[in-house]
Amino acid sequence: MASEHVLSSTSENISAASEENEKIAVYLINGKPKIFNAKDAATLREYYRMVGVLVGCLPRNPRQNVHLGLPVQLMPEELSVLLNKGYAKLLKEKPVGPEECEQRIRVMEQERKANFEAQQQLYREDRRQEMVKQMSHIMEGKKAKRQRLLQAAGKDTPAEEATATIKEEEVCLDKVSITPTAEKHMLQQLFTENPWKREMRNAEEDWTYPTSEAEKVRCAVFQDLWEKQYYLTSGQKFGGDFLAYPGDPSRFHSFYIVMCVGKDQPLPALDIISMGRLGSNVRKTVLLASLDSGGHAQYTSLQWTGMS
Amino acid sequence: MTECMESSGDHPVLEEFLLHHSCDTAKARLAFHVYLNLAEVRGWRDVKLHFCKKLQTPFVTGRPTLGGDLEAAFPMAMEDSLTHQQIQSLFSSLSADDHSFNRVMLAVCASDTSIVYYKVSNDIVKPEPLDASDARKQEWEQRAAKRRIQAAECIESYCQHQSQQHDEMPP
Repeated sequence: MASEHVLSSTSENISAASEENEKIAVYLINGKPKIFNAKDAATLREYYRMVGVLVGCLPRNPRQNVHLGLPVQLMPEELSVLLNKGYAKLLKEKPVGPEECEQRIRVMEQERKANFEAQQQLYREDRRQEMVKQMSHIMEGKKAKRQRLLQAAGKDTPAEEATATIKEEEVCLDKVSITPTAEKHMLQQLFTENPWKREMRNAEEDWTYPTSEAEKVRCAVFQDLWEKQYYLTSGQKFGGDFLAYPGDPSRFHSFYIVMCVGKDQPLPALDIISMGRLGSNVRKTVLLASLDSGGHAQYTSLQWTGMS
Repeated sequence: MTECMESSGDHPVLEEFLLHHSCDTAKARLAFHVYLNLAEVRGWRDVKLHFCKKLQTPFVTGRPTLGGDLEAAFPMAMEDSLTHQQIQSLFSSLSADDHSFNRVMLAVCASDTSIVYYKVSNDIVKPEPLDASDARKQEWEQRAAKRRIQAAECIESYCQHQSQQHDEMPP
């Protein structure tokens, strides 16, 4: 069976990470593998060809879910391959007790207070600088105001006197009062990494995938196609198990809809026809995949003949 | 379908086939149906009916175009099902004149005698790119237009010929 090697990739000879801290940290949260580090997510995609799915809120654009942000969530097959090859380590956070939570709240409030005071100071400096720049305008404004007040009081002072009085006041900039900003206008730091000290433990024994026969077929087919240099994502949009791309999914359309079946699972003729038709209508080849008796992946391409 | 095809005298090809091979009659009739469809409706060349001993089932071979590659068609009733293993075995078991097939047409027959053909390949086959299918469509449209013009010309010349003959007829 001729295998097709599409775009040659930089990751043809990826060796397992020799040290634990070279491995990419994947966190198991509620049974789903997630990556929170932006650099790791980029490495996974560009070097390891594991695309995953963004499932988090995008901080710069929170109130929508068209464009999501970190963390990246991996398919179970993606994690299994990464663990099998030694490219990633699976971690789970040790749960935090109520005392530590209290402590974290205290630290957070202290930080916020210090931050606010520092910002106030900076704001004052900033305002003072601005005043120096706008000195002429401020003086004119004060002069006009002074004259209006004098006229209203009925006095008739020559213009120079008025200007002189103003000048004295303006020299002492330090005495000029600057209204402090309210706390609601304070700038708040958004952390790009979890700032707390945490205890992590290895969670690989918690990872039992794949268990059922169907899961084993999926996992083996995924690994085989991944080793053939394809990029693979979830195939739910087209009713298949995976979609296989010749390159990064952001730059290419998928070529194949992969359907994993048991080798002795009877496929009704009508199912074969609907699979073939689907493929033709969306300009993709349907790939039927199963494991032979030796456990190796075998593929059959399904195409409509166009004979109507 | 068996009712309408039951007749006192079967087609000689079918009769010869049943004579030479100990094949289930229903399967043989199904295969023969595909044979007729390919030979008479689709216009395939060198269409032949075969019997695969390994799988104990008939199949059809032929060339879609004159001088083109030999293709195999595997008949299947709409109510049937195949496992992936069985599909894979088609590639290793079907052979005609020492010619094995890496690609087989699955001919799914419905009870109303309509047949749908699907290509199964023992390979990871890239889908046809957009420009290739556009080119194919364009070529087909050009041929259809040519056929229409030719047909119109034939009709025109026939009518002229007829009117000439009419004029030349003795009163």
